[in-house]
Amino acid sequence: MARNQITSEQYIGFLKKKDFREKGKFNIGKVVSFAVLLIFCIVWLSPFVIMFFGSLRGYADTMLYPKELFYPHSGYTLENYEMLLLGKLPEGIGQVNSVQDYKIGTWFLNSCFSAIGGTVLYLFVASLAAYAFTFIDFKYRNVLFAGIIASMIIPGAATAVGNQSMVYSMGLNRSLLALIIPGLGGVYGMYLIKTFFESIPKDLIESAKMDGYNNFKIFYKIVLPLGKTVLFVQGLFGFMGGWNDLIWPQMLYGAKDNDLWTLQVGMAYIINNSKSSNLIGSALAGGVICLLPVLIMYIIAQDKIIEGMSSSGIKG
Amino acid sequence: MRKNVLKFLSLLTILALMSTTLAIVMVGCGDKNNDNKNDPTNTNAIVDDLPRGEDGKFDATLLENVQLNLWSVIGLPDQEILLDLVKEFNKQYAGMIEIKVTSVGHYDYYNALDSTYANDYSNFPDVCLMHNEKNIEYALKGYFYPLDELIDKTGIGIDFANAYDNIEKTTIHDGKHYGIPIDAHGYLTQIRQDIIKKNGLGFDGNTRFVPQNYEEYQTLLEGLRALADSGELWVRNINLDQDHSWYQLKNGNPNLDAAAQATVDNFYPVFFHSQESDNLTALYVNGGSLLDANGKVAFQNNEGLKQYITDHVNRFNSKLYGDAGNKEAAFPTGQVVMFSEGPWQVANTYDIWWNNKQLSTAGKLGVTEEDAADPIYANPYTVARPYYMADDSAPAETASKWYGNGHVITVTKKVTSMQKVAAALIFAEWLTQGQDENGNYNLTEWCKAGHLPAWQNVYESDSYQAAAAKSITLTAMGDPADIIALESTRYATTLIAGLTTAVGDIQSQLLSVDGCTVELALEKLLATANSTQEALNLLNLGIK
Amino acid sequence: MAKTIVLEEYAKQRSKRIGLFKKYGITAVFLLPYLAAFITFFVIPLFYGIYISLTNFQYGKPGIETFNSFMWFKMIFDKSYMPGIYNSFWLAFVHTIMFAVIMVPIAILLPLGLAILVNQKPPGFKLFRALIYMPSIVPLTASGTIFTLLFMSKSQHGVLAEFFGIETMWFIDTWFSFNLFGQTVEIAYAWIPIFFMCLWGGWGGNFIILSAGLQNVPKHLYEAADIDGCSTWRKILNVTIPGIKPQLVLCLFTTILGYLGLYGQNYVLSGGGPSIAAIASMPAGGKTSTLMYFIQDLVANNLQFKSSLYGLGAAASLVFALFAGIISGIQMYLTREKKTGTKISEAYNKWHEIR
Repeated sequence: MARNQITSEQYIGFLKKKDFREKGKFNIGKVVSFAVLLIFCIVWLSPFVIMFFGSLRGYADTMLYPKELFYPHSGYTLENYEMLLLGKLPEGIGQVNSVQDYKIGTWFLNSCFSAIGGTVLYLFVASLAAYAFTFIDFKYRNVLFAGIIASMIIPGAATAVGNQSMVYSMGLNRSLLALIIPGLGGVYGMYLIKTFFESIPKDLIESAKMDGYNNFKIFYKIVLPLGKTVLFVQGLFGFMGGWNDLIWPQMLYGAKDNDLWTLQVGMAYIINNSKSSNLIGSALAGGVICLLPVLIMYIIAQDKIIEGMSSSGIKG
Repeated sequence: MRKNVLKFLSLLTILALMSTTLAIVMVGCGDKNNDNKNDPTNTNAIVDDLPRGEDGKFDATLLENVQLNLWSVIGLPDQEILLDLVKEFNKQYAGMIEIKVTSVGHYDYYNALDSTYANDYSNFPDVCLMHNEKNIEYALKGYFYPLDELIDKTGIGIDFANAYDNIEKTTIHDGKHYGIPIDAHGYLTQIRQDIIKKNGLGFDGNTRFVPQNYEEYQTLLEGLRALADSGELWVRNINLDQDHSWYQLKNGNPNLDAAAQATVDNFYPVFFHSQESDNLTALYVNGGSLLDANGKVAFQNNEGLKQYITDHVNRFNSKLYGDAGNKEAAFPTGQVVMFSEGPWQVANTYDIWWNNKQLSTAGKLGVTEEDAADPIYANPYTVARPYYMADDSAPAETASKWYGNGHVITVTKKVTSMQKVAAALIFAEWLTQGQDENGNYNLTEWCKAGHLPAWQNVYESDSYQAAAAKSITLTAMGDPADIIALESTRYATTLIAGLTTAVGDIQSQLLSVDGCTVELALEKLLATANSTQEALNLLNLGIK
Repeated sequence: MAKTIVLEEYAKQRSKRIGLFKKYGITAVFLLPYLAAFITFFVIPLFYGIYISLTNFQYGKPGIETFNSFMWFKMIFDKSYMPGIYNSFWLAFVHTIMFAVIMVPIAILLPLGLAILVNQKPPGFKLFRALIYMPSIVPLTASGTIFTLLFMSKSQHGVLAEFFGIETMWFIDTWFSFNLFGQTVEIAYAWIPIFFMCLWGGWGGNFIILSAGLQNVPKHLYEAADIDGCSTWRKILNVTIPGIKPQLVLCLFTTILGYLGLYGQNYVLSGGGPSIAAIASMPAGGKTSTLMYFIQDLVANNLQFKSSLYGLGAAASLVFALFAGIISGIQMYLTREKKTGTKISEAYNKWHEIR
């Protein structure tokens, strides 16, 4: 213990330094970090800017004046968006080699169903399971949970084939249900919720049990309200994941069921048809359309999202 | 903690053993029926339920409400024409046959066929309207019926003698037809004939501007390059609302934006050939084939193809070929004089853009009286077949031809009723050989979209000839007898991809910092061919 | 007498039975939906995948396959059997490991640096935090389009070529090559666009987690270090980094697994990269191929492979899963909790209080 003792001189020196740092209007750390972060963020955000301005460039301008990215030769135009949303083609382009109508409205609704419906259902199912793992003591509980966690290691590719066969043999692929039901077995979300439930003081549960509450009541009246944060965070992540998912819906419906496409699948189709450099405007506009709902949600809720990620990082 | 881990591991091992045993048991008692699906030539599953007339022969008018699901690979804009034709057919056969068309588009068509066949068979189509080069590939997977005996049984008058041999051969395997050919088309070369004429590089005393053979093509390229290097090449911009006056490369045109100027640095006589169609033309025109008689990959042995590759390298290195950045943007500015592209854009887009009215209106945008009056200067854009692929080694019977693919109609194994077979064959016959009350072939309507008919009687008919005279695409494509379709093989996709990859790789290498020599290019051709052979070996392992 | 005892016994057992049912019934209701989905869509497909990899399964004709004596595994591990597959698979393997080895340290250090900067709490740091995370929500198709536009060549008017005059043909040229076990491995420039795309779209998450961890480091440790007269650098080394160890471990775990399975970015940007002539027709025969690309070419992208070589894809994904499992296992072992320093004193204090 002796070496951890400090002399009074050392302590006074430390207090002086602390004083200086807090009183000083000129904190070198803050200035340097501000400058670096500013430059970094400007570069970091430039792809967004490019995408946004690129999508406002007309077809003719892209071909004839490729250098004018930010101030297109004929000015800004919404013709790319019109083409995607209303089906109005710009002058002189026929629809070449494309087949499907651009049913943006249907696709948007499908994405909403997949993202929102899937998330709500998942929250329900996963929180039930997390409750069982935390508060109900049954044989093999730890082993079962360890097994489920271990499955996180196995990449999706190993199960993709079987998944597809399962879904087809259950006939799910005829409806949109195939977008949400297979995801109900997801592990990350359940793990997150369970970790959070573990931090709920056990005495609360004990006293509730002694008051005669059965498990359902405890779940509904105590655990869920307390777990609001983690459910909200997981809900947000689930929404973003469900909205952005491309591979699974494409594998299911990609070929021809135009009505069942989600927004991502539709946009991927449009972008694939716009691979030549003069159609890049419509590809970028497609990207903006895919991105916009999530972006808006992010801007509104970003505080909560970041808090959620932070707390999951601490407890994880 | 350790006890739990051990318990977990033992649980996992037991599960693994159980499922492996289950797997092996499943393997042992595999499902070995499904004759119909496995054997491509088998037609036993079809129930003969044809309505017959008094003479015992099949009478089509006795058909009642036969429904057919047709999957079409045709995309816009041709899709509209197809749908109109089907509507007309349904009208003529109302109450007897009704065809429902699902347009799937070439991007997803074959993927959809495969996954629907494997997972969702009840939605599998009855009739496929697909590309002819994939016909045998999918027929040998067990998807389609051989049609000859079915045509005999129903007595429907489809006489394959009227079809062009070189086009229908791609649908024949082991002497049986697996599809009814409809049309054919190939990649065309777009040409700035006004630039050729202005610089005196035309043929036959500067009256003909389309090179008709290898030597003329080479001469043209070199001529353009020489003039360009000295800066004395005359070019002009033919885009709408741009200044159309003639200028020499060394002087530039002050009325044009920098990006739209043709200069000594950005000028190329021609862009790289297409990686898809032109290499097959080079192969077939010079008497080569993708596979040899033993079924081994053989395209790398063809002298003509090797010459094609050598030309790629030499011409790029002498700046006769350039990088195909944006062909449609560069062509009208005069930065390039020729490029190769599929025929679909020619009539719908390019002709409208580049043979526009401004060029025949004197006094505006730099158009002089002489320019407006001259037929070539007023219509600077023309299109032609790639006549220049045949080199000295080309055998006479193929030297003047070119590669083209097309579409076919097939009857899938989903159909188990002879009535439906008959209905499908009636539609195929109506489409390819049927005539309206004026004697015009229905197929002509389809060909107006820019396809050559696969049937000789249709080609020689007046209605087709009249339509062809009005269509810049059809005039350029000429006689369907000159088209050589892909050889019939179950490995079409892999072989085409192999050749495309080889040419693409060589083109990339030419563009790279290190460049490419003839030796390297031929090495790459050989290496890719070996890799393709290995892919074929792999696929053979998997195919029973 | 005997009857009474039996009745009592019976009552006891009945109440036990009911209790048991109630207990397990409730558990079942809570667990069942989740477990049903988990087993149906994870466990069964996993074992089905194992089954497929042991047979010559045909995609279009399920049910007629026979055991094929590990043919697929022979192709992957035996060089002389099918050299094309062997070369293609192991080249993809080398690419994956190389990229992961280079990316993972950068993917942790750079966000860490940023997090330290943000932790200085300059004005508007909350905005910076939000902005740094923002690119992570962009879907792959959209970011793919942007980065393709950035890196297209001059003739296609790519942004870097037009505005900065950088003439490198990103998707064509090779950067350098080296020899590995007698095989030449070529590193293409195409990895750089892929690198930047991963950077832009993937590191926001690491940044947020590390930043939260930084805020959680107990302040008294910094003060103690100050008193001892540590320089800023020593502080970072001895206080910050051990303090955020749990977050570092989490980041490491997810980042490694993420880059082992790299696929989407390669597919969208370079399509597997400039092709390598000797294995051009093999699955993943390009210079920017990865393990997942190899698997996807067999089970999804190439229709002819999908029909006949599905089993090879299943076998390859099993090998991949095993490999990922081993890496995760090693990593979990190396970063297990070791009780040192403040943890010991904290644990002692707790024990003292309880006592």
